[in-house]
Amino acid sequence: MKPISPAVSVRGLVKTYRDGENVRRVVDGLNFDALPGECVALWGPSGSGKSTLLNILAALLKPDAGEVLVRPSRTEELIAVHSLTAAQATRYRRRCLGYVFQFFNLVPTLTVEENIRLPLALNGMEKNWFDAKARLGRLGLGDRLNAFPEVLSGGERQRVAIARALAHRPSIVLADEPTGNLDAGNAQTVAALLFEAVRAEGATLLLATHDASLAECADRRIDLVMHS
Amino acid sequence: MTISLGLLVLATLRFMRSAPGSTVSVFVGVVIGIISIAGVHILSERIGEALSGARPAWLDGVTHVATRDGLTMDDYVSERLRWRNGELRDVTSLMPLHEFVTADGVRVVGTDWIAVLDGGGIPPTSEFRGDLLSGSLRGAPAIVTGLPYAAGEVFALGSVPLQVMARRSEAKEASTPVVFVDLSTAFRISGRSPKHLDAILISQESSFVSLSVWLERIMPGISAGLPAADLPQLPRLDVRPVATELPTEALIRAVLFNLGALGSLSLLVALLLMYQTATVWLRRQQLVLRSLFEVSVSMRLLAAGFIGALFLLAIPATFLGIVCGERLAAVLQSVVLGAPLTDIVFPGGEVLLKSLIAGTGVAIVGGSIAWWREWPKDHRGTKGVAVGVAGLLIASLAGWIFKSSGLAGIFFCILVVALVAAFCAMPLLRKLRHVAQSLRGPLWMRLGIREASWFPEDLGVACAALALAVAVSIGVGLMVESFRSEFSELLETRLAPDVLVTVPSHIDARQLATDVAGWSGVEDVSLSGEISIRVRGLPVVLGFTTFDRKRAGRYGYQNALNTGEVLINESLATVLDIGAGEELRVGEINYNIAHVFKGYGESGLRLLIDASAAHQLVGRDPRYTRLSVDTLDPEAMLQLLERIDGVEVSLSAAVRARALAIFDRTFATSDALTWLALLIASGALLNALAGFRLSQQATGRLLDAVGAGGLFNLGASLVRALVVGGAAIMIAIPLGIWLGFILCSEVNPRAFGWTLRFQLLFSPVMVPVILAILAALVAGAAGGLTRVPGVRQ
Repeated sequence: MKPISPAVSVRGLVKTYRDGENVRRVVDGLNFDALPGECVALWGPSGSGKSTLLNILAALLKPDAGEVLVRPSRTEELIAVHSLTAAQATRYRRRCLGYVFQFFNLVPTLTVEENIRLPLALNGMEKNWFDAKARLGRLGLGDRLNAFPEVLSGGERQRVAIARALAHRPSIVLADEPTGNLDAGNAQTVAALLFEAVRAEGATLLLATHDASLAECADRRIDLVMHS
Repeated sequence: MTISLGLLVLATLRFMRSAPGSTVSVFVGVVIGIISIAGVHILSERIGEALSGARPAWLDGVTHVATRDGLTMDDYVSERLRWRNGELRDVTSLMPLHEFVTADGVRVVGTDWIAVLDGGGIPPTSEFRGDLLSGSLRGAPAIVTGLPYAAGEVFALGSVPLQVMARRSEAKEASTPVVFVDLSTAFRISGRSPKHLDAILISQESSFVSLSVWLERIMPGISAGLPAADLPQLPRLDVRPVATELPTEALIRAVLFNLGALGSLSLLVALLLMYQTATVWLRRQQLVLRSLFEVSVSMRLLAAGFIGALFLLAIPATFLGIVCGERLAAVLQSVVLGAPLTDIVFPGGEVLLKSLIAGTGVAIVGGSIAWWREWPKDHRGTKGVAVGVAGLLIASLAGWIFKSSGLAGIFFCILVVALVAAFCAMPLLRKLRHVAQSLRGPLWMRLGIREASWFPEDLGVACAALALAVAVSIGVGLMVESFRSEFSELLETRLAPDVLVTVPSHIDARQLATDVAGWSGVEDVSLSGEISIRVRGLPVVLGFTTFDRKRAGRYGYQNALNTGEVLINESLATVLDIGAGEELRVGEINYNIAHVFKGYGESGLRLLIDASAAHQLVGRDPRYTRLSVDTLDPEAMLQLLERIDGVEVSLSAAVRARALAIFDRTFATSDALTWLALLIASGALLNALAGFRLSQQATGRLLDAVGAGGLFNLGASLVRALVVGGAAIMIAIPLGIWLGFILCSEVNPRAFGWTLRFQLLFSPVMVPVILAILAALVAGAAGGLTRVPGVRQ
């Protein structure tokens, strides 16, 4: 039987930050793979490099060393994210990624509908709007299409962010502490909706969290440690 | 723990280093603001020095002139007695004046030479001063202007020998040569009774006069905008400020006042730039400042640290502005006067002081307003501000309605209305929010429009600055083009004859006219001349020619001028408060004012009569000094006339072209100043958009994460900038048109005594609008193409 090729492959990843003469190694020789459709929790305390790792995976940051390979779709070959040019990185994020942040997930001057239409418009996939709209309905926000983010609750905003992240059917979804800003009840609901939606789409989820209970909901957990 | 002010200043300076773009733009804004005011000041100072040098000796130190019809020496003696008895408050001297024009066309001015010498009125005469006091001169002492005699030379006027003690540079007022002599000598030359007087010259020293002199040193030209000082109380006489005797000086001071006001515009825009940037900086530092406040650092100390850093930034910017301002003045002087560029002269104390106060003042005031408005926000009410603005608007409208408020009143009105209108930018952008919410179209466009309308506090002041600069540019442009159009029309009609000839005194102009009329190709020859007279005590230039229907038509009067009729210029009509159809007494004769004509560029009061009436008025045959010739071949006529010794000949086409070139050079200064203001306003917009992107970093990061590429960001940034620019233009167009109208209908009459027909022309409106759009596009493109880091690097 042919082994399943990974959707994400990280090898020997190193990232340091400099502050004057101090050099801080945030990610130090990290290796891991994530399979297509797998939900992987990147668990660790603050400062362990979770957000940095997601930013590298999103080609928003360049690593100092190592490889980051991502498969844009099941039928395509792995691409080297660490060596993308700025323009290639933008295209990669637009097409392959969905991103859910902890804060500031929505563009405040766009309505719910417009926020969700944004990745569709960028990818020329406006025809997928009806699917995205249906997903929004399943997330319980079908009646808030014309609302601006400022009138939504924290939980509603995160649900819109999930709908936006999945609208253009990306192969990879990156979620950075998506429930970190919510109360326990809302956090549980949003987490459940996120896992459900990602699994329904068959996307690979890389979820950064310091919450052990949230990490437990994933298929697999990778522990990140603080480096001196 | 005690945090010292120095540490806070240092922290803010470090913060500025972390935002080099906005720091540099603030620095450049202050530099350009100071260039503008220092440049205008230095230019005005140099022009002022030239004016003082050209002031007639007998008017040195004189503040007022008193006259009446039939003034006699008895009046003078009587007023002098009252003065000696202390009845004339603040008056420091009184001097009798007798003046007249000789048959040769020389203006003789006689006054009390002892008083003039005591006052230091004849500084260049030191080598003859001893001779004068010992009485060993070979003739009566005289100071001459416009006569070909050197110092020490003796010449005769009538039968009276005169020795030249000094030559004064040619004053613009002296359309005729001037000889300044002692009063007794003047009576000997004129042959009139020593009881007759023409005027009494008064010197007044009051705290207001001293203040006015001091202000004039700080802000050259401002005296033209100040209300007149209290007139000395001489109830039996007409007392007027000395400015009426010096129309050119008054005209130039009014020009300087206008330039000073325009020069301050850049500083005002720089103030808005400083405020806008300080606001953005404060928002970015708010968390840190709030934390420091919560750990018991006093708000006053925090404010001092923040404003102190802005103050430190403004100091080097001011010095750079002064140096560049000196160069700007040199360039403008060279352009306006057509003179070669001068070497660098380090400016005097007044310029340094004024620039330092202005530069650091912009930093302190701009920073303080930003601080007051931004932090903390707990106790801010707008009711007081609204009441204050309403009060200012009412006060400013009084400056428009009441003509007596002069230039200062109308400029105060312009300043308040312009600022209030410009600051409508914020409510306008807020209003746009409602429209933008339901907007359709591409997402980048919706995003750009909404961002501009959702955050008016971030962009509103830059929008106001741009609106102000564009409005002033439109207003000044409309005024200049209206002026140019009328001036051009006026030149076409007044200088209609093909060839203009100035005839020297040794040639008989009548004989020359007869000879020229016989030359082939000549269609018409007319003679004209002018002399200085007094009308109701005012110095007036009396012009005379044969005013048939054609020539009177050149002045806008469609009939031939009868002997009992006169034409007067607008300045004379304004000063005497008379108009067409009214009577005017000149000498012993009453004339009917047939028409009031426009006289742009004429600094003085003018009265025109038909040549046939001139004899009756001046009591002798007036001397003609000019010929106007209509001919089939102007070039050939020019060559023929140039062969006559001493005759100055010009083609009227060349004179018209020269006049228009001088006109354009004159307005080069105002062009330069409006361009400087536009430059700062563009900088303010660029800075505001950069600051906006920093304050909307989270949105930027989000757009980055969803893969919004360069085109999307560029599109949104361009739309955002165009919305701000568009709002500025929406305010600037009506404000600019109003400003142009006010400049034509109020400022020109108040400053120069003439009215301009306001013309709403396309190009003066469109050029600044296009520039504003370009500035917005550049600012938008710069914002869209530069990447603000979204994540920690």
